[in-house]
Amino acid sequence: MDALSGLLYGLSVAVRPENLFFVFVGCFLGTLIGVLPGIGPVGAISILLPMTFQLAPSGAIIMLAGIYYGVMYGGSTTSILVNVPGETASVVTCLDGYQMARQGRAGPALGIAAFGSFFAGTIGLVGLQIMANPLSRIALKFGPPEYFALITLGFSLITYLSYGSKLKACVMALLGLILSGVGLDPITSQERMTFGILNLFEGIGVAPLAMGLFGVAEVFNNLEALSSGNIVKVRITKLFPSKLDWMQAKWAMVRGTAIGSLLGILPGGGPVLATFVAYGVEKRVAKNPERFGKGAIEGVASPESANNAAASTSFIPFLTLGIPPNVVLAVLLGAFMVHGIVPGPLLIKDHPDLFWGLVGSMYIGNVVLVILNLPLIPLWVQVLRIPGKILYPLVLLFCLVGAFSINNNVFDILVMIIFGMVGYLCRQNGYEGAPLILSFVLGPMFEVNFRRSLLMSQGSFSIFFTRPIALGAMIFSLGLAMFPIYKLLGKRSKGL
Amino acid sequence: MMKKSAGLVLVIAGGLWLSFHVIGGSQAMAAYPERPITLLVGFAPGGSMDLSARSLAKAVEKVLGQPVVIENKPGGTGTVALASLLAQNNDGYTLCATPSSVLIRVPQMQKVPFKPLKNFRPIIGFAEPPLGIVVQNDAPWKTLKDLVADALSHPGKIKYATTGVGSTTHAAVEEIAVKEKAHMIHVPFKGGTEALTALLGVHVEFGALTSEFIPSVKAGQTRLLATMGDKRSPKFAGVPTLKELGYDFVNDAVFGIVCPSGLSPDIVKQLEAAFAKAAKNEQHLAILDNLDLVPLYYDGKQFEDFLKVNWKKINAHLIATGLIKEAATSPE
Repeated sequence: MDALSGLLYGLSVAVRPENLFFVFVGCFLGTLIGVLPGIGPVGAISILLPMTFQLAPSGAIIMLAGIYYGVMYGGSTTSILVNVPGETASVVTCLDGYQMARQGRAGPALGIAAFGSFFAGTIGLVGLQIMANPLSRIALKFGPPEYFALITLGFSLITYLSYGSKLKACVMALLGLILSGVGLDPITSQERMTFGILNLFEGIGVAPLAMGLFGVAEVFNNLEALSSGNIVKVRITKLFPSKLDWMQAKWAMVRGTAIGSLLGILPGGGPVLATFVAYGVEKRVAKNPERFGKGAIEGVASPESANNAAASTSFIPFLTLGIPPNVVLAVLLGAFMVHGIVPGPLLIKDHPDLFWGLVGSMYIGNVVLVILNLPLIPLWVQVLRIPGKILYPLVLLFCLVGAFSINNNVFDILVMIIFGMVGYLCRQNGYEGAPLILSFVLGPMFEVNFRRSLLMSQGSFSIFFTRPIALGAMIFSLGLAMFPIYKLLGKRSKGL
Repeated sequence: MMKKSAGLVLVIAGGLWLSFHVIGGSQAMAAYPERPITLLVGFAPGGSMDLSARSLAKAVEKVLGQPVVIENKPGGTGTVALASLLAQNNDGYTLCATPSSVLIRVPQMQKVPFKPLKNFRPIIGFAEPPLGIVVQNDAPWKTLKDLVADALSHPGKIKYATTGVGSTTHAAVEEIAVKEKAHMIHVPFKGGTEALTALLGVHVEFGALTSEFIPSVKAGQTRLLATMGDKRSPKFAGVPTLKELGYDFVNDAVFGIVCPSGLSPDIVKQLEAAFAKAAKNEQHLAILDNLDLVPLYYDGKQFEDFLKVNWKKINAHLIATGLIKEAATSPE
C-alpha cells in the first residue's frame, strides 16, 4: 500500500462514527489539559489508559494520540494570556506571546499559535506518511555522543533566548545547570545536593519551576503595580491576526515546522528542545532581533509551529521502530501493548487499519483542533478584561492547584512559590527566566550522554569528534559561539 | 456499563452502611479504603513494570472499590520510589510496585536511604519479567559463545547496554565477564527502552535487557542469544538459558507490591486478600501475556521469604565475583 492509497484507507477508518467520536474526545481533552497549567499529557493519558482496556484498540489509540497533540494546541493559551506556561513545550511562547497580550494583541497571538499549530501539525504528518522509514533510520544514528553534541548546540543558542544582558543570561543558564544536578546521580544513584530531603531525590520538577519563574513571578510583579496604582490598561485592538501579522509570521512558521519536524524524530529530543531551538533560530535570522521579547509575532509563530510539528513526527520512531521518543509516547506504547499490538516494523503490515487509521485520524484531529480553538479566542481574550485584583489572585490559585496536581505533593507547591520569589527578584534586576529553564531541561540529558559517551570510549574525548553527526554539531556550535567574537574583532579593526 | 454502575451503587451503599454502623472508635479503619490509593512505580511509564502494575491496579480497583492511581517516580534504578514511599503517611493509601531486584540487589551495590528487608512489608509477588541477551540481527555472533570468544580476543571492543548499574541485567553480564575473564564495556541506560534504542542504533554490541526486547526479536530486528530464567522461556524454546550455558545466574527479579512495615495488620490483610484476588483476574492475565510476562503468585509471607533467601544468595554471589566487598546498605 503506497502512501496515498494508505491515507485514503486511513481516512476511511478514521471517519467511522465511533472513531470520529474518539478523535473529538481526545482533541477536546488535550486542549483542556493544555490550557490547565500543571496537569500534563503524561498524567492524563496514564489516568485514562486503564479505562481504554475495554475499548477496541483503534479507538483507544486514536483518542490517546489526540490528547497528545491536542495539548500542544492548548498549551499556548495561558502562556499568552497570563504568562503561565500550560506545558513545558509552551515556555518559550511566554516570551513574546505575553508581551503581545499586554499590548492588546492577545487575539492575533492566539490566532497565529492555532494556525501555526495546524500548519505544522499537518506538514509533520505528511512527513510521517511519506518518509517514515528513512527518517527513523536517521533517528537511530543518534547515540550518546550525538546527543551530547546536539545538546551542546542547544546550549550555544541560550543567549538568543534573552533580550537583555548576555552575561546575565549566562548566569541564569549556569544556575539552571546547577539546579538540574539536584537529585540522585543518573548513573550511580548517589545523592547530590539533596540535603537528605527525600522529595529532592527525583530532582526539582520542571513544571513547578517553570510555573514559579514565569506565572507566580508575574503575579508578584503585578501586585506591585496594582498597589502603586501604576497599572497599564490593556486595550484590546483586534481579535484576529492582521495582514501584516501574517506576512511577519509566515516564514517563522515554515522554519519552526522544519526544525520541529527534524528534532521531533529524535528519541529524547522532542517538542521542548524544538521550541527553544526554533525561537533561537528565529531571533538569529531576524532583521531586527531587538523586537524579540517585546511582542514579536514570529516569537509565537515559530515555537508553536515547532512543538506541533515535533508532536507529529515523534510518531515516526514510535510507529516504525517501536521506540517511544518521549514519555508521552511511552505511555501510548503501553496502550498498544495491553491490546497485544506491538508498534514496530511489522505494524504497518500486520495492522494496516491501525497504522493508517491513526495517521488519518491525526489529519482529522488537526482540523478538529483548529475548529475547537478559533471560536474560543474571543472568549479567551475576555480574560484580559478581568480587573487585575481579581485576575491575579485567580492565576495564583490556578498555579497552586496545578502544581499540586502534578504529584499530589505539597512540596511541588513550595518549589513553585520559592521560584516565584526567585523569579521576581531576578526580573527586578534584569535576569531572565528562559535561559534557566532551557539549561534546566537540557542539563540532565547533557550530563548523562556525556558520561555514557565517555564510558563507551573508555575516557577518550575523541568520541565526540570522530563520529560524523557529533562532529558536525560540535563544529556548528563552536561556530555559533565564535561568531560574536568574530564580529567584535571585525568592528575593532574597522575602528582602528 | 450496567455492571460497573451496579458495582458503584453497591460500594456506596456498603460505605453508607459502614459509616452508619461503625460510628465511633475505629471509624477510619473500618472504612478503609475510603479514598483513592496511590501506587508508586519506580520506573518510567510504558515499561513492563509500569504496565503490569497498571493492569493489576485496574483489577484490584474492582475488589477494593476505590481508584488505584499510578504515580511514576523513576530514577536511582527504582530506589527513588521506595524511598519516597517511606516519606508518605503510613496509612495504606500509598503502596509501591517494584521488582524484587530493587530491594535485594541494588542496595547491595549502592548505598540507599532505607533498610530493604526491614522497612517494607511485601503484599504480593505477581509476575516475572523475561530477561535476555540480544544482539543486532545482522551481527556476526550466532551464539553467546561466539560473542564471548570475540570479547576475549578483543578486550575492550565489546560494549553492552543494560537497564542500569546494579540491575539484574548488569549482574548477569558481570557474571559472564568474571567467569570468562572478559573485558567488556558497560553502558548503563535508564530503563529497557533506552537500552534497546542504543542496541538498534548499533551504539553498543549487545544488550542485556528486560522484556522490552521481545517485540524486536519477533520483528527480526534483533537476535536472542540467551535467556536468564530458571527454565527456557516457552515463547523462545530454542534459546538456551544462562544456567544451561554454565553460568551461575538465574533471574531473581520478581514484580511485586510492598507497603511500609508497621502498617496496621488489618489493612495489610485486606490488601493481601484484595491483590490475591486481583492477580487471578482474566483481563489482567491476558495483559501479562501480551506483555510477555510470566504470571506467578507469592503471598506476602512467601515474597518476604523469597527476598530474604535471595538477599543472601546475591550477597554471596556478588562477593565471590568481586563486585562488592560487603553490602553497601545493611538489610535490617
